[in-house]
Amino acid sequence: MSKSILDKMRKFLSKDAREQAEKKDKLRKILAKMRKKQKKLEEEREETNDPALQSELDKKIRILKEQRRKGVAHLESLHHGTNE
Amino acid sequence: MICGMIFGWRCAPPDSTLTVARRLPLIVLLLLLGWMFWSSPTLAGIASGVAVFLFGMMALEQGLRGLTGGTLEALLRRSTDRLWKGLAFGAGTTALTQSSTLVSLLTISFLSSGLLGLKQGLGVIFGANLGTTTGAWLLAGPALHFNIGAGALPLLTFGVVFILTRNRILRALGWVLVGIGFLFLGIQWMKEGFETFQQAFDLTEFAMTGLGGLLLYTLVGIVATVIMQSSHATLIIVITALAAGQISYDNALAVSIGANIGTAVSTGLAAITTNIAGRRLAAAHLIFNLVTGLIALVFIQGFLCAVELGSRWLGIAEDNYTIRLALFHTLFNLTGIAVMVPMIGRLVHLLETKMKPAEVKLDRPKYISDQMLETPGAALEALRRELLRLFRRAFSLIARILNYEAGELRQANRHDTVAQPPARVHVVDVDKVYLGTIKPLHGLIVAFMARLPVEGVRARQMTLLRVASQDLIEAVKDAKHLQKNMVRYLQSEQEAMRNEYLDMRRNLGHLLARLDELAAVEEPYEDMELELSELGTRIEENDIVNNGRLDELIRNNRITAEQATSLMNDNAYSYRISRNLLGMARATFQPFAQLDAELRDAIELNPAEVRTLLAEIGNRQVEEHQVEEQRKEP
Repeated sequence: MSKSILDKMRKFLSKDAREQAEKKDKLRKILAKMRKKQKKLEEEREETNDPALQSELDKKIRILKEQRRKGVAHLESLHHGTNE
Repeated sequence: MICGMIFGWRCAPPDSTLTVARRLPLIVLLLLLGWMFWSSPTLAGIASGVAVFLFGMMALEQGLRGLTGGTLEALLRRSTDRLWKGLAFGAGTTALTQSSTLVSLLTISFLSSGLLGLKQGLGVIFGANLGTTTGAWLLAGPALHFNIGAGALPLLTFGVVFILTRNRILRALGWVLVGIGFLFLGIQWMKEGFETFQQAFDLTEFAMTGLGGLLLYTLVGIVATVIMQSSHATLIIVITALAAGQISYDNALAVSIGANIGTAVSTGLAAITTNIAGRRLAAAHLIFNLVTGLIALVFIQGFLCAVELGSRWLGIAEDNYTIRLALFHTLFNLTGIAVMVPMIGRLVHLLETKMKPAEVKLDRPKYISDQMLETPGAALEALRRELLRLFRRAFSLIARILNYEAGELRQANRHDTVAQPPARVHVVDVDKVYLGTIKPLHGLIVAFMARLPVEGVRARQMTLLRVASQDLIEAVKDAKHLQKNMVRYLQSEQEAMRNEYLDMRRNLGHLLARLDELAAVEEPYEDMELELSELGTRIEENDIVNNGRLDELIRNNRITAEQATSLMNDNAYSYRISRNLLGMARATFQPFAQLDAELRDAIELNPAEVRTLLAEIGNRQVEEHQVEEQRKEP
C-alpha cells in the first residue's frame, strides 16, 4: 500500500488527524487571504504619493507580514505535529 | 385541612372559589381514580397501566434529551435551508425518539434564538406530526402481538444499573431503558386489564354510530390527550381497547382524530408562557391539527375506502382493526401535510402579521428564555445575540458620554462628523442610564449563564461570552470615569489639552462606529478577524503614553505636570475602553467556531508585539526622513 493511501486511511480513521487536517486547510486559506491583502496594500503603497497614507500603509503591511509569519510558523508546527 | 395541605389552599382565601374552579378537573380526576381503585381491581389495573405508561414516556424523554441533545441540535442546524429537509428532520427524529415534545421544544429554542426561520420551523413541526403516526404502528403491531411485559423487567433492571453510574451517556441510556421498560409494563397492564374487563362488561354497548358518535368520540380523544398530555397514551388506550373488543372500530377512529387535535391543544396551552416564537409555532401546530382533523372528519368515508384499499395492498387482514387504525392515522396526517405544505407561505404571513411580538421592555431579554436551558447549543447562540443587544445599549451610552449622538456615528459620512468638535458639551447621568438600561439586562444575562449547563467546547464558548459581558460593563464604567475630564477639557481654553481630548474622543468615536457596523453583520464575514485586528493595531497606535506623544507634550511645555497626569489617566481609560470593546467584539460578533478561535489565538499579535512593531516602523521612518533631508541639503 502506498504512503498516500496509508495517510488517507489514517485521516479517515483518526478523529485527531481529521481535525488537524481541517485546521491546516483553514489556516492555509487564511494565510492566502492575508497574502492577497498584503499585495493589494503594497500596490496601493506604490501608487500613492501622499506621505501620510504611505506611512499608514507601511504600518498595515508590516503588521500583516508579522501576522503571516506567526501563521506560517504555526502551520509548520502543525505539519511536524502530524508527522511525528 | 388535608386538602388544603395537598393543594396549597389558604384557610379562607378571597379567591378560593376561583382556585377551586381552576383545580376542579384535577379533583374530579383524583376522585374518579379513587373510585376506580376502590370499586374494581380490573379498572385499577388499567389506570395503573396508563400511569406507568405515562411515567415511561417521561423517563424516555429525559433519557433521549441527554443522549441525543447535541446530535439533534447539530442535525437541526443542517436542516434549516430547505423545507423538505425540515419535514424529513421532524418526521425522522420523532419516529426515532417517539417524542414530538422533544422535537417541538428544540424547534422553539432554535426559532427563539434566530437559528431557524418560522417557515422551516413549521416544516419541522408538520414533519413531527407525521413522525408521531409511527407510534400507532408500533403500538398496534409488535406491542400487542408479543408478550412485551416479559421484556420490561430486564430493561428496568439494566436501566437502573446504568442510571447509578457516573457516566453521563450511560445515565441517559439508563433512563431510555427504564422508559422503554415502563412503557412495555404499562402496555401489558392495560392489555390485561381490558381483557379481564371484557369478561365482566361490554363497553361496545355504549358505541355510537353516525355523526353524533363521531363528534362525541373525537371530543373524548381531545379531552383524554389534554389530561394525559400525550397522544401516544390516548392511542395506546384506544388500541388496547380495540384489540380487546371494548370499543368499536368507528369510535376508535374518532378517538384517534381527537388525539391528534388534543396534542396541539396541549402544546398551545404549554406555549402560553413562552415567547412569540413559541406561540407562533404552537398556533401553527393547532391550525395544522385542526385542519387535518376537520378533513378527516368531513371525508371519513373517503379515508375508510383508502384504508380498505391500502389494507388489501399491504395484506392487512380484514379483522385486524388495530393496524387499520394505524393506517388511518398515517393517511389523514399525510393528507394534512399535502394540504398544508403548499399554504405554508401564507400561514407564515398570517402568523407574523396577526401575532406581533410585544414591545420588548428594557429590562426584559429578547432572545434568551428559561425554555432554552434544555438546548445549550441554541441557548449559547441566543446568549450571543442578547450580548449584542447589550452592546448596542453600551454603544449609545458611551457615544453620549463622548458627546456624540448614536445616529451621528452611524452616518455614511461619519469620518467628517466624528472629527468635528461637539457643538455643545453636555454631561450624561451615566448611573441613571446604566441602572435603567444596561444593568437589568446584564443581570438577566449573568443569571442565565449561571443556570445553563454546558461542558467541553460549549463551556469554552460560555467562558468567552462571560468575559465579553464583563468587558462591556468595564468599558461603560471606564467611560463614566473618563467623562469628568472629557467634559472639562473639551470646553477648555487651553489648546493643547483640548486637542488631546478631541483626539481621544475622535479615536473612540471611530472605533465605536466601526464596531457598530461590524456588529450589524448577520451572515458569516470572513474578514472579521482581519478587520478587528486592524482596529487593535490602531488602538496601540493611539496610545499616547507608548507612542511618545505624552512625553513630547511635557518636553515642549505644552501641558503642565498636573495636566499630564490627568491625560495619562484618561488615556488609560480610553485604552481600556477600546481594548474591552474589541475583546467583546471578538467573542460575540460572529457565531462561535472552535477552530476559528484556535487559529485566531495562533495568528493574533498581542499588544506588546504590536507596540514593538510600531516602534520599529517609527524608527525606520525617522531614519528614512533623515536620509532624505541629508540628500536635499547639498
